[in-house]
Amino acid sequence: MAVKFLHSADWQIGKVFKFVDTETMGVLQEARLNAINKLGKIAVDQELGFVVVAGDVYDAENLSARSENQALERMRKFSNVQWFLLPGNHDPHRPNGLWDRLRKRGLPDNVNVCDHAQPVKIESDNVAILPAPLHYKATLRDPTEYMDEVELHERYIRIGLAHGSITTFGSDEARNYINPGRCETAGLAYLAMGDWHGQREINSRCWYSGTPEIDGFSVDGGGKALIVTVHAGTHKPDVESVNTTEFKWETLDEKIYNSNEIDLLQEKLSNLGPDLERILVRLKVEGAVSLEEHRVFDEKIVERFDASFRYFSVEDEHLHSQMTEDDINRIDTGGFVRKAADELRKLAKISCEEERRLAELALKRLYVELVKLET
Amino acid sequence: MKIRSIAVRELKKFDSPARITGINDHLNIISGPNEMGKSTILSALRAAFFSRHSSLAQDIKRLQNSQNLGAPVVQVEFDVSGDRYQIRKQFVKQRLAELSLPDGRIFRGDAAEDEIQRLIGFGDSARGSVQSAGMWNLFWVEQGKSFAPINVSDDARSSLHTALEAEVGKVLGGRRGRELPKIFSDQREKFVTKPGRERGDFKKLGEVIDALRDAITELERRRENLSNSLDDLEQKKKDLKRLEEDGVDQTIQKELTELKSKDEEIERLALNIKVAESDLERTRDKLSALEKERQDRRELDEERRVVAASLSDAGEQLEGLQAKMSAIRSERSDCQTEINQLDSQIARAEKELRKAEEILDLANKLAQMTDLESRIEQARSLVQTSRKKHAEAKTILVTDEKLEQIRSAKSNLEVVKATIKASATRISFELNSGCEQGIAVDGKQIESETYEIDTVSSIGIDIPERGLISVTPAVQDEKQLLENERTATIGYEEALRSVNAESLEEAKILNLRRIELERSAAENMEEARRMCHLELDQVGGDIEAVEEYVKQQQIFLTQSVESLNLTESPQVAGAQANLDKVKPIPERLRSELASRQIDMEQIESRLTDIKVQMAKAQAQHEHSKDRLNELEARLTLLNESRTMSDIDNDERLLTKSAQEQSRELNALDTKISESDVDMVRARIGRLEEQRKNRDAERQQLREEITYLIGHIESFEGAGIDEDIELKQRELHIAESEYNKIRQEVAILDLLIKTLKEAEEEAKGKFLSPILFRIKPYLDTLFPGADLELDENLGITKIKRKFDESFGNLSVGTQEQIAVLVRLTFALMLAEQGRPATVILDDALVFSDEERMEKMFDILFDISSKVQIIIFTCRKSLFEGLGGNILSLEYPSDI
Repeated sequence: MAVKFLHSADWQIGKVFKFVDTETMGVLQEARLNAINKLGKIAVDQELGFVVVAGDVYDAENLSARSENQALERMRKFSNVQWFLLPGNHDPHRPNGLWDRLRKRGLPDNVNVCDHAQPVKIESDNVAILPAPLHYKATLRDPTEYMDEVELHERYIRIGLAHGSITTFGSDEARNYINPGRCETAGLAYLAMGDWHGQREINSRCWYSGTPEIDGFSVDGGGKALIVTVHAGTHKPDVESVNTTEFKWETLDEKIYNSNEIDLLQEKLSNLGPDLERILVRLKVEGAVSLEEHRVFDEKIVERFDASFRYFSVEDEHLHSQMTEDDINRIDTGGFVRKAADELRKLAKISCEEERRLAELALKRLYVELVKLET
Repeated sequence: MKIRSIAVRELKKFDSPARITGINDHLNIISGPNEMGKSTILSALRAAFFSRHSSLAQDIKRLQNSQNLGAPVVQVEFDVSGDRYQIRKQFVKQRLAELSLPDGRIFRGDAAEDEIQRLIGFGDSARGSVQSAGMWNLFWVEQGKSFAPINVSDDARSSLHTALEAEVGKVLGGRRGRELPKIFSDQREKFVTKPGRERGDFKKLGEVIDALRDAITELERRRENLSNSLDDLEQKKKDLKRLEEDGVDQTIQKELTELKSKDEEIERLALNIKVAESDLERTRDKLSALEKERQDRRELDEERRVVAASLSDAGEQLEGLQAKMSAIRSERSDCQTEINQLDSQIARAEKELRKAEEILDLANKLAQMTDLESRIEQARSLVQTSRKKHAEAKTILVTDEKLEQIRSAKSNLEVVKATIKASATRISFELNSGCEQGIAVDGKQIESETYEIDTVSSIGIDIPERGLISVTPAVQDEKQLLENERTATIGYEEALRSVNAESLEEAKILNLRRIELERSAAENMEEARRMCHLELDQVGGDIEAVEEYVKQQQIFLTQSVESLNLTESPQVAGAQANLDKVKPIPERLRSELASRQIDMEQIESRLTDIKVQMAKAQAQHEHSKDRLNELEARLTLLNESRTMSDIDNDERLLTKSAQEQSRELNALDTKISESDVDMVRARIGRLEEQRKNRDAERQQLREEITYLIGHIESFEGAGIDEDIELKQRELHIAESEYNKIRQEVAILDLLIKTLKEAEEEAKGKFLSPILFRIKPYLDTLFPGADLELDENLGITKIKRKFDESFGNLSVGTQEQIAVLVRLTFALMLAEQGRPATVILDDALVFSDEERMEKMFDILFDISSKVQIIIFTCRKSLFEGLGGNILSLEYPSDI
């Protein structure tokens, strides 16, 4: 006997992306909702009986009714799919809180909120889901502890559902700590974990599915879900990773010292994907270029790709402008403007970091304005 | 470029040809009277070089002669780099331009215009108008413009900048340099005001950030509030459940029932105790009443005894006081007698004193009369003496007036004699001893060997044995002289006779005698008056009146002696001794009287005190007597109603009853104390309080839960978290934008500051070639002064002892400085091999002689390197300049 289901987590519906423009934020939020559609479609296509969501369905406890309902309505559409939702640290269950509110408002029939630490049985599949809901944003007690004591008929396949960290990160009082050995102590066929946005296998029975839609540059292995097949007895589960993300989040660290490298970077960025609008890029550059090369960098990289990517961030504090003889002569061969440029160049070499940066930007600005006056 | 000759025809005032030739490389002076056409020559020069021949602009048309409206012609010969050129232009009609080159070629029309432009160097922009002749406008100064501030046109400035940069290198920033600071300032002003206050979008962003922060704080507060409400609700529900299900209420109720039953039993016992306590209290009250009655009687008896003693004491005191009063009254009588006696003695003593004073006064007056009689006698003697002297004085006839008449007569006589002597002939004899014998002059024998005689008449000298010598002086008015002498002699003798004197000296003596007698008589009379002056003043008459007064006084004094019963006239010393003796007696008696009067007052005071004491003692005695009667009556009445023995019996009976009641009460107290009534009631109270608190707590919890549910539900769907996230995102974006602008402003500030500093430094360096050249000339005119120019080469100020704005200087000084700057510009260009002829039309009109001399020196010095042409109407003045004097020629044609 085997049961096949979909493991997802960390949807964080309603998440606000602070660094992007309003339009992009709307697109990214919509993408998170679309991820539910993708999961539902996979469940339908793969004939999966149910979907478990291991916490953080919502980004916060008090979202707008629209945000709360949008996720429920997406799930409602897949009426043949049962959704088992676990309160996580972003959306903990508290009396009269988010989940009570949703329940009071009326949940879709196919949506089940696992807000109590007690088995939820799926009789048709002989499966008992043992949820470990969080009641607070942080708890010092392992919420899966109770699973060891739960007695069920042996016909039930025990599937754990938890949200937290399997490492203590060196702290004696780790918050939301989940014992990764819970599968053994509680006889779980599989422990579906949430909290880490990147997908990760902790052991053969314990996995983080990761978030279905990547939501940050530091997320490694996100944008996926897991199709899990558990078996009765001691067989290890079969776990299959599926891509679900719509947007790619890329972080590039580049070094630039000449115009060729600018061209190469331009090519590299152009080739990041077929649809640049579906890519968010954080570019960190360091190195040293002439004022003219810096101007070209702004033109070819910053200005162009800002318009190409869904989001393009350039951190060029460490891309230093080095004034060449050509640069300086282009500013002027003499006169007070040249003198001012020399002063700024001097300031950029001897000042503290903040003043140095300011002097470099001023120098670059002077150069650009002079070039404009030439034309 | 150097100009060699200028010729015109039918140009403005010149209706016929005129020209100036012989212009040399240095200083040229073209002088002539007003209206000669000097300024027209300058206009012609400008037209030749800077106006296109084809132009029909108004300023070109104005070149026409107003009478014949012919075609104005100008022709100028000039050298460039040592080669001779000639430009000829005709305007308005048959317009032409011809430029003859040193190699014989001739450019005509526009080609000539272009070539001339190239040769002397000015831009197209300058063409067509003489007002925009570029740098030449600086050097060719029209009449009346030399003292105006120098307005350096753009092209002139460009030429000068080129020249300056040729010496100091490129220091200014050119067009871009001028535009850049403005670009950055404009960019900066989009975000901040000049002083640096935020404005526009920057300011709005700051306000948005503040508003967002406030909104987030409020939202977070609300979220915290909601979160706390959820926690509270959960806790309160748990608390309510515990209170409802812990079984404590039932336990409390059971225990309360048992305790209340026990409490009722205790209540009954307590009632019995109260009854017993009440009985005992009444018995004790009766005992207390008995004791009080006994005490009251003791106190009454004691008071009766004390009052009786007091009555006895008051009687004794009254007697003592009466004795004292009798003694004092006797003493007062004695004292009064003494006072009366002293009053009589004082009256007598004062009478004696007044009599002694009258006698002394009389004695004094008698003494005065005796003295006065003596003085009257002396005075009378003096008066008689005075009258004798006065009578004697009357006998002397010489007065001061008479004496003066005698002196005058004698003087007249002496004058006459002197006149005769002056006219007389002196006859002198100096004979041998003994030879005088017998010689007689006018019959009068001479008596010594030497003899002199002055004579105006004939005189005969009879010499014995020799004969008579007759001498006749040669005096014409001999008779008149002799008559004068006779008349004067008679006058003198008559004057002497009138006063019975023989000579003037005697008359003087007599006059002195008379004066002395009169003075002495007056003194005697005055002495007599002085001796009796008081009495004279008093009686207001003479000595005789005084004598009468004395007589009357003596009669009065005699009567006074009699009235005082004196046997003889009193003497002053005896009267004074008597007065001294009786004078202190009244004072001594009065002192004694005052002492007795004080004694009397003290006696009266003591008498009054005794009377007061007696009144008090009398009152006390009466009071004690009344109180004693009252007390004795009350005691009699009490003893009649109940004796002390009755009281003692009643007390014994009541004491016994009280002892029995007390024993009964103790028994009841013992019984109730064993019931632990306080503990029972405390426990009942505590349990009831506990039950009440639990009820209240449940009620409170129910109300709070209801409130919290309502509060939480009111937040349902409020989306606080989402709102916070969205606001934080807005804040993040706004802060990013704000920081970008702040950085932008910082960049612009840095750029503006750096450019400004660099520009200021450049300006200082840039102007140095001009300031360096002008300095020695400036020192000549204004020792120690410095000049300040702005970057547009305009003159801003002169620095002497203090800074002076150029516009505030006198017109003369402004003109001198302006000419000096123009000359310096030209000098700099000339030294760099550029064309720079200076023309000054009627300049330096406001300079005084001293400055003019110095300006001449400067002009002369500069003209060694720069060609200078001066038009002036002041020929004689400018001849002192030492230049090449030129004048207009009038050829038949040009």
